[in-house]
Formats: sequence, structure tokens, C-alpha cells
Amino acid sequence: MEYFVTLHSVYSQTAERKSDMNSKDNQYKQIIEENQSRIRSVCRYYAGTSDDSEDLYQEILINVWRGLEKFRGDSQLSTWVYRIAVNTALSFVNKKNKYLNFNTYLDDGKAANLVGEDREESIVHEKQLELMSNLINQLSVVDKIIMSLVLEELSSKEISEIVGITESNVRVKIHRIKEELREKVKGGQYDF
Amino acid sequence: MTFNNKQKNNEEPVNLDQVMDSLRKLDARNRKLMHGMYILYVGFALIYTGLMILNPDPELTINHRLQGGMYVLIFGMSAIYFRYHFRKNKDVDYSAPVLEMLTAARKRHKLWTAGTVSFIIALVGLTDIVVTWAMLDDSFLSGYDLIIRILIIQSAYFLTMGISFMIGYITWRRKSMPLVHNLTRIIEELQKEG
Repeated sequence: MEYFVTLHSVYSQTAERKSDMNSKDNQYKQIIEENQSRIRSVCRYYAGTSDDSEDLYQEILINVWRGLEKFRGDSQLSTWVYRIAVNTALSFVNKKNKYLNFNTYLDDGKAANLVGEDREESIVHEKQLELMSNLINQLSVVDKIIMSLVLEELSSKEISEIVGITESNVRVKIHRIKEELREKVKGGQYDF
Repeated sequence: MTFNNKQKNNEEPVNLDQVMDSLRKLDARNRKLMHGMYILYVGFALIYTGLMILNPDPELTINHRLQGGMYVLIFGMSAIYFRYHFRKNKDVDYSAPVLEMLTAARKRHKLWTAGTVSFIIALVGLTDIVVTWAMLDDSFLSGYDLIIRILIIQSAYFLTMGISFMIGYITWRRKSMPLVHNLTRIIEELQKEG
């Protein structure tokens, strides 16, 4: 009789574990489905080629899976995913030992956000976008991290939660970066 | 990412790819090293337990067995230390804010932390005691005065420790110090207002 009780207990524990694993599987799939575009964006910013982007994407998926048990719901799920994506991207090294490029794939709206509040004043053309990409690529490491998140149209609060600095500091940094960018394009052939 | 811009105050540019590349390689190397050391010390602890404590040989005095016990303690402490560092390197938290992750990385690669210093002092002290005791017990340089014998043992021991420390320091300086400096600069830039 005791043998059957033990057997039943072992069976129940195994079933429980299986059910936990299924629930983790489902949660994971849902997170990836909901945040796929965010992860893809980070990959595009930080990976130079499509192969690199794919490698980075895989790595972020692995780290999301590993981190799933640590997620306590203190922050929004999207913020948590961004943190993993950015941290993984920063740690990402091309297996072929090439350095990755930071790709600022700007569209008109995103560039306008950077150079001015008035969208009409900030209508940019192809050359201006190229110039803006080059300028962003010349920013410091920290400024690039911030700008990649600004380009994703995240709020200062969300950026502060991802980067780990105060919201006011994020706002000051964004203002300063925008000023620097504006200053650099001022008076040139492609002034905004 | 290639960051070829000059930082403020004419500092050298920080190449985050290089920083992170080094970080990852160092983490992987350290994990391997820490795990290897853990296995080695567990092995030593088991061998010494068998040879010096459980061995029924009647020629083994109580002193030998006590010294064996101290060696086992030293090896056990070392194994736990390396196990702790192995786990710390294994569990890098990618879901932490960027600043926190970089700060943790810098801490992992610093030469000295309060914990490491305390551990090393305890280990070096304990090893010194047991080595000196074992050598005096085995009539090392028995023709000389006790003070002379102790001084010679201490000189040889601390010379060996000094050489080991220098090798460790040179390795750290070559591999980890540039990384720690780069991480410090990124962290400072993140923390700076504006």
C-alpha cells in the first residue's frame, strides 16, 4: 500500500512539474509573440548584417527564457524584454569576430522626433537621414543606447527603467543629445 | 557597434564591442578556470581525507591527522570559494537595468573586493600555520634554533606567496584592468547628469 502511495506522490510531482513546464512554455511563447517587433528593432540597431541580427535575436530569445523565472512583475513586461534585449545586444559579439555597426534606420517621423517638436519643420530627405545616422553613430556609447530607445519612441520613464538612471537624468541627456545633433547639422548643406 | 568618436576631455574612444567581447571571453575563461579549480580542490580534499585522516596506518601521529584535517579545511574553503565565483559568473542577470549589469560586471572583474581580501587573508594565514607546524614537526633544519627555523620557513612561504600574487596581478593587469577602466568610464557617463 505504502508503495502505491509513494508511487502516486512521485507521479503527482512529475505531473505538477510537467504542468509548470507547459505553463512556462506558454508564457514564453506569449512574451515572444507580443515583443517580437521590439526585439527585432534592437537587433536591427545593434547588428551589422542580417546574419548577425539573427544570431543576436537567438541569443536574446535564450536570455528571455533563462530570465523568465526571475521576472517578478516589478516592471512592465515590455521594459523587462527591452532590458534583456539591450543588455544582450551590448554583450553580443559577432562569432565571425567582426565589429557590429549601430544601424539607425530612421524614418521621417523618428528623425523628426530627434531634431524638433514641429514635424513640418523637420521633414527630412534621404541625405538628411543619412547625415543623421552618421551623427548618431558618432555619439558616445551611452548616448547611443539612449538614442536607440528614443528612436523606439519609449518614454523617459521607460528608458530610465531600462538603463537604470533617474528619469530626470534621462530627460537631461535626451535634451543635450538633441541639442548636439541640432548644432551639428546647423548651417550645413542639409540643415534641418 | 563601432564607436570611433572621441570622448570628452580628449580621452581614448570607448569601443563597446571590444569591451563586451573582452567581457564575454573573460567571463567564459573565468568560469572554466573557477570550475577547474573547484574540481581540483575537491579532489585534493578527498585525497587528503583518505590519506591523512581515514588512513589506518599506525605511523600517522595525531599531529599528522590534525594537520591533515587543516589541509582538508583549506582545500574545502578553496573549493567553496571557487564554486561561489563559478556560480556568480554563470548567473549573469540580463534582465537587470543596463547600469546595474555593467556595475556587476565591473565588480566581477575588479582585483580586490572586501570578500576576496578577507578570504585570502584567512586562507594564507591558515596555510602558513599548518605549513610551519608540519615542517617543524618533521624536523626541518633541526640543527638550527627554533627562531631561525621559523624565520626560514616564513621567508620561503611568503616569497612563494609573493611570486604567486605577482603572477596573478600581472595576468589581471593585462586581461581585466583595461576592461574595468572602460566599464568605469561607461558607468560614470551613465551616472553623470546630462
